[in-house]
Amino acid sequence: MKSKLSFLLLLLSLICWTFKQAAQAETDGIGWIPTWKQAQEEAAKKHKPILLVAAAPQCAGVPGVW
Amino acid sequence: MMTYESASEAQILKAYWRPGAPLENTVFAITDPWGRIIMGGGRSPKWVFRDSAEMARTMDEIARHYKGESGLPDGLPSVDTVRLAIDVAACDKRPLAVVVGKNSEERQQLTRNLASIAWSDQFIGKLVYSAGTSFDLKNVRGATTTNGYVFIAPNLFGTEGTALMQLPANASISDLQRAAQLAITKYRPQVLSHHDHVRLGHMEGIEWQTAIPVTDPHSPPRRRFP
Repeated sequence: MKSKLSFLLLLLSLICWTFKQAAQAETDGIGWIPTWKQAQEEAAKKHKPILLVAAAPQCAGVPGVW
Repeated sequence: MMTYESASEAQILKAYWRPGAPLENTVFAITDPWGRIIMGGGRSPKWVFRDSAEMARTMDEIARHYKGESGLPDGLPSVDTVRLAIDVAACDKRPLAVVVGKNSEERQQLTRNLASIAWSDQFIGKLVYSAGTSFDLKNVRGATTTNGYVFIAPNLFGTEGTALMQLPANASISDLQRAAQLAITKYRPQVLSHHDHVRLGHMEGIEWQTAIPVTDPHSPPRRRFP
């Protein structure tokens, strides 16, 4: 009985941890620079390479989705 | 960068994509600090790397070749227009902060103030930003300020928004921090699957006008659901 309870507690902790990680992943963000002009000025000033990701902010003409 | 939303940026993306080929919806590249291509020709990191660990290793390796000064960017990461920023905010499921002023002089100092919190650990990547006049807020319910800041919740399709908080031009940095945190807390985006989102958009007659024509040969057709 005691071992079953320990297992359940461990399982519950794991579930809580998983939800916490998922919630954290959802709220963490990347500070994208949205225009090429600003990104290039910043990169040249700080002497850092550029990770470029472009996407259309619409799909089949419907906005609100990448 | 937002594909099809700027003619000049489209020319840059075409060069990084595949010179001579029509621009497709997504483009991924890594360039040196002056925009010269290091890796390109892909639509996303998934085309280029096996997994995130390989991507991180490659980025580390590339970064080692550049001295890279420390410090955060100076400017506000601002989307060119408020209309586009509301759409981007809906895509990212983030609230939007807009600097409002009659002219660029009026907006300049406010933009600097907002930039100082945008790159902080607390807020980095958690809001979308833009700047404009009160006229640009015509699709934002409850937005009344003509000189200051408005924090906005975009609707599902990013075609309209609702003002969550408004601050006057003389708001302090701590006022901005409080308002930004409140906007993040209050904003509860509706989340649909990609398919359901597009289907509902078609059913409701929602249609986005891009700045330049969509040229992706693989792009799904508009209005599949009459």
